[in-house]
Amino acid sequence: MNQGNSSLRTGPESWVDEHGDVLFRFALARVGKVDVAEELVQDTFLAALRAYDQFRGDSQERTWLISILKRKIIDSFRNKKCDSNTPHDQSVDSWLESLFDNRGQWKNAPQTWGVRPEAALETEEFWNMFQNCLNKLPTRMATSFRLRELDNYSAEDICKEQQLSTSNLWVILHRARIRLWKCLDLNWFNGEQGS
Amino acid sequence: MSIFSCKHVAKSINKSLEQQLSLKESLTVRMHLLMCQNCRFFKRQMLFLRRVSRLYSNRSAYQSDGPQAQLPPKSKQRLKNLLQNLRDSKDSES
Repeated sequence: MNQGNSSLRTGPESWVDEHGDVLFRFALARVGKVDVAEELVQDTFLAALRAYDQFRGDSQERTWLISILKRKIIDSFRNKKCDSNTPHDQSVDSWLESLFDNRGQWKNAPQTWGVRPEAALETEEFWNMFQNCLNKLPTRMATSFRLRELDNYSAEDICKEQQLSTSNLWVILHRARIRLWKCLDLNWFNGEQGS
Repeated sequence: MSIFSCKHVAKSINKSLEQQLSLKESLTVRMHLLMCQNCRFFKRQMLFLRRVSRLYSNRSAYQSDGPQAQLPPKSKQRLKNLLQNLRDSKDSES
């Protein structure tokens, strides 16, 4: 019996209680379907069990499991076909339109975020605010934004998963970014708590 | 697209984060930026947002973000049983 085996004894079953919800939430935020998210969590645990001997413990168990889950999510995207027949999204984003006048000029001119906006990144409040802004995005925008900007998945993989054309994807990303930008602006850089 | 429209330029700026702009579009954006401070702020802040997003993904909060959902109890039990069985068979092999 080696040490690897003895730690195996305390590992896997406790994963479900310790990390199950977090992995499930992570997957659900990216694939949007409960049954698909559940299956991804299961696949992650199974892959983790097989690879457990290679887990050196040099990263946290949860970080390690998340990294496996991220690979599983990519695999599930790649099993889908890219839907090139998706009609181009012609819907009008009236919220976004309302930021501009009828000549296409900003109604409220963007203001500076100061000479050193990076200073904000050092405070916990900033990150909580960012997370709140992220959670306020409409579901579809949030999913695409998470996949592209947080997980750094390729546009091609995201299009497959979301059944979108690339031009649809960047319209969605544009809308998501502007919402986040406005949220950061109002709640931090040029709002009441502005620093 | 109009060279005077901030709305169009903002869209092109975001597009340029994803793909290379055509020569015409990229020239239009550059000309516009020369004369529009509003859009210069916008562009700088978009790049900052991208940086923030990448940094956020390295933080622990990122691992539990998303809807406050929980794995259904039934699935939890099923997964526990599955892992238990597999571990037992793995142990008996070694």
